[in-house]
Amino acid sequence: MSDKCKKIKIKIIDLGLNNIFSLYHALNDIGFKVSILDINNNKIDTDILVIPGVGAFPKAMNFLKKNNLDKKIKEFNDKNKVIFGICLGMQLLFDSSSEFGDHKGLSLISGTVEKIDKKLINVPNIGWFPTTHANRNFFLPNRLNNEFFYFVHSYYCNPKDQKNIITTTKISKFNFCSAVQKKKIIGTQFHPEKSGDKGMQVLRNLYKLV
Amino acid sequence: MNKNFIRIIPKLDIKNGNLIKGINLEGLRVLGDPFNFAQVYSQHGADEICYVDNVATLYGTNNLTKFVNQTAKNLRIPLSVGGGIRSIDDISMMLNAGADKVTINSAVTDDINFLKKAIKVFGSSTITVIVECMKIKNRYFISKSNGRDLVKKDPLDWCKKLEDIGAGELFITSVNHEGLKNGFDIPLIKKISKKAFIPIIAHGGAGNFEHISDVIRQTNISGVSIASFFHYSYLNHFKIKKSNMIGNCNFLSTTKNTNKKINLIKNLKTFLKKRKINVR
Repeated sequence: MSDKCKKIKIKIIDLGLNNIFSLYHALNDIGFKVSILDINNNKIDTDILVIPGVGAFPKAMNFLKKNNLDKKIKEFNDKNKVIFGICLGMQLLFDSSSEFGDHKGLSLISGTVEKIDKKLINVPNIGWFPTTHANRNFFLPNRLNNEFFYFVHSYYCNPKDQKNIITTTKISKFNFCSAVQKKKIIGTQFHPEKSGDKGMQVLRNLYKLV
Repeated sequence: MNKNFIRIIPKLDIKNGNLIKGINLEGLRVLGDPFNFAQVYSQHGADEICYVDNVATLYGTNNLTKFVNQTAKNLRIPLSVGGGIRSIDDISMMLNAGADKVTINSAVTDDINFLKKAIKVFGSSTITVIVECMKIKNRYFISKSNGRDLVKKDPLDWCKKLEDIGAGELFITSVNHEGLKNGFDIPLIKKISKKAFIPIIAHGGAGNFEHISDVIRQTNISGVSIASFFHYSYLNHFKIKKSNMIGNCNFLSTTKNTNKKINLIKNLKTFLKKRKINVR
């Protein structure tokens, strides 16, 4: 295992909505210094901040606002630190979501979050699907092109700027952005911590962004 | 032809900490440590692991937490957990222990409002409902507690209702086919899956690769759940410590260890790919 990972601090936001147990252990196994973010601290002090999540967008956003985390995350981002959003965590990075009405997100990446059309595929969309590279990226290097990752979601991200799209995933006639990057902000619609060895490779690559 | 990406889901029934397996959900035999099986299944390419505490519903207890915790710590694929889940607290407990999804049968069959509540708190994709289907004199009914209690409801109507309320996916168990390795109840699964807009998982009857290929090709399912067919084929991957086991272990003592360690899941996926089925 890379020694580089050992010096890197990762903090996970516990939105209180779901299982972060697996994510914690996956990152810990790689060798990162992992802990759960103490939401009472005035500042976010870490190398990488992970926003995980399965659950509802408005509920998660309310949690962030109530704890003043939306501001703290933006301050953290201004310091050019790494932010990694998984699934709902990726969706929260965008401007707004149509889940249960129209709700504002963190606006770290411009674009919207939309509901998957039931006519195209079964919703929720659950399972392992291949991701195809849209733009060159060292976080998801070439050897991970067209590999399968695990997804579970009913909404998907629609980034405004095509340059931000790292991978797309096509299921029947439904084609969507499955990973996004803007500078040091990264998001994956799939769950790397649930995607076997390939997923672990993705998590390990986080050190390259620090 | 089914265009879905198909998940292969080993189902592990647990009793007193042991992996067990019966026929028609009855006559349970002890097969080994569920954690070891889950690990090997994951390494061999299983897409998800499903744990069910088989006696929890019967005795109202829930001892699964310990195994969920141990398994989730080392498992890098999704884990669903069920058996005896009756309250919002039960679901929280399983998710905190490391489960990604919960599977519920009896509690939803008894009170559909419980499903509404659970979805509101945890979201659709965290809740899988198990629909046990029994065929009696050419009519289908649903059942609960692993086929012990018959409920006079039609499976198709019931599935529609569960979907309308917001269940994340449905796990269809054909009780009459379960453990017999004679193939799936394709007519039933076909009817249910063609009508549904949520993922449908077929369970009960897998005995060979053809059975699995047939049920996928002829229906619109998103996954296949397999128990006996995998467990019995994988027995010789493990050293068995009989001293640790409680229950009917006669089967294990009389089984010959052939030392042939076949990667059945990988072989199954190669077989399915050749038949143009989308698998990882």
